[in-house]
Amino acid sequence: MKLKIKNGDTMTVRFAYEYSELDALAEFLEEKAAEGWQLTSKTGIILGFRRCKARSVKVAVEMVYADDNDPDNERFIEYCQAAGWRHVFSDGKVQIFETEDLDAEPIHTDSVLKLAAVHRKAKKMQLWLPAIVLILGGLWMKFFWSHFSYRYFFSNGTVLAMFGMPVLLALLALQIGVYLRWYVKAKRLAESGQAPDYHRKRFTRIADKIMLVYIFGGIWGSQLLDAYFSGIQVRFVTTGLIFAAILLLIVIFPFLSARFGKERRGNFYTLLIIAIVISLVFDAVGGFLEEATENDAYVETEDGYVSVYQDKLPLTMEDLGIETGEFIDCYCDRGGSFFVRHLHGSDSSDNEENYSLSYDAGIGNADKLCAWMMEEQYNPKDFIQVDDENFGAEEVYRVAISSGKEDTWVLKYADRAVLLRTDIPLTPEQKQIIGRKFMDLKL
Amino acid sequence: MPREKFKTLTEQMYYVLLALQQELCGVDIMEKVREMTGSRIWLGPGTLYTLLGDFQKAGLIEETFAGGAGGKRSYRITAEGRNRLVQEHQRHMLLITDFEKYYGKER
Repeated sequence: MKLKIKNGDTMTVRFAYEYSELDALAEFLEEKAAEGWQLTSKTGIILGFRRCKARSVKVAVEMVYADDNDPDNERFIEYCQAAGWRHVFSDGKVQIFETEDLDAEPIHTDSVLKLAAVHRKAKKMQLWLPAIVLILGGLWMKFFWSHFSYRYFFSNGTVLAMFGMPVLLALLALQIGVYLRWYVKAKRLAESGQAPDYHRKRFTRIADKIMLVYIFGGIWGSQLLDAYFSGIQVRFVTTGLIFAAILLLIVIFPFLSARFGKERRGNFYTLLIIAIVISLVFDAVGGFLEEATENDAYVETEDGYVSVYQDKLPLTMEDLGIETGEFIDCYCDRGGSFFVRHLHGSDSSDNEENYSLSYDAGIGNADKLCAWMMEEQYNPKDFIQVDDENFGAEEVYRVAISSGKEDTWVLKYADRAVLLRTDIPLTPEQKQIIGRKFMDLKL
Repeated sequence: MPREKFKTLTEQMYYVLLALQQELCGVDIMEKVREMTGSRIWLGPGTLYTLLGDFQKAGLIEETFAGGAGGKRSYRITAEGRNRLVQEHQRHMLLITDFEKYYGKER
């Protein structure tokens, strides 16, 4: 998929291709030259162009295998130039040449040798690497599904991984198969004296679009949504900024390449490292800002520093009439996806009886939430259903054998469930307060 | 069944070895092959580059330096390369002999 960004006399184009599609890139560059664009930079699949006079040229895109005696491919370039091909650009293994002689003889006149050079380079990127990723990805998916829990629906990122990863792994497997099929056919053609086809494959275009959607739409989108559902504005903003910074860097890189020499701009990997460092800095700053605006903060008072609770905990011990002291220790963490919103809250503030209260609340599929809550904490068989209308719940479960004084309850409502843990000996009135609080809860 | 490397030579391989009976640098090899074949065979620079590397690894040619340090790299055929060339010539002679013996005889 070509993504074009024009800015006056310069243009950035994303042109995805495989090593078996070098002629497709060559033809694209010929078209651009005819339209008046000169290639000035190439980093992987990102091409930078500068305005020039329209020219009719023949372009050759060649793969060169590494020769210890010729690490910079100088001799290869020298031979091509002696044959009338002007060297335009080097991007690692890929060399780009052009000539104004449209009848010029090709750089490779032996199809078998050319295919061997392409295959030697392509093997790593088209076979071994995808195979390793496929195996590791397959093992991860097996582990993922064998430990499946409804908790996976709590995050948009894990929902994407559940459904998106198998698609990506299937694509990878297909990619390996498509390349092998092409290579076998190309080898047969080359050995019979015919030229193999180095043009674009339909599969590559489709796979490329899917990858783009997954990476930018899926990963970025799911991270943004997770940040949005957390309810913490700062997290949402910093997540958006991180991805925008990476995208901006990819877009402006060709402009930098056109302006600065290779020694000053470094290479794509240098910029990728810079982008990752910038992202980590943004993340750290965002985390710092979150800490400053989230949950508890220590405030200086005449009695010294006290922890002052700032976040909106839906249920506190004070709501249940328990008098808490100066030291407030509350915590609230929200999150969710399109399928389920959830919240974890705890209140361990200083109080005379040393009571504590914690809970998990979820709005989604109440049956699945209840099942998850029972499995997370105990063996589901340890829960018994009790008849207690005070919570206002459709079903109420309680752990039959609890450790110490703490009670554990699971409350099922129409569209939500609550896992409640507390050592407060709840009165009917307190249970009613709890029921009202969670039935009114908005996430 | 895959052909053993250099067991038979393509035209381009044959003429590169033939040209390297004298010490030549890469660029001159292309010109020499064109001259030897009356421009019938065009040796692409990419093909030449690959062949020189492969021939060196197979011990059919060796690299020399012309003009001392920093000078252009040149090549020349080795004894192994000469043997290979002679074998290829003999193979072609056999083909020619068989052709003259059998072509048109079954009409």
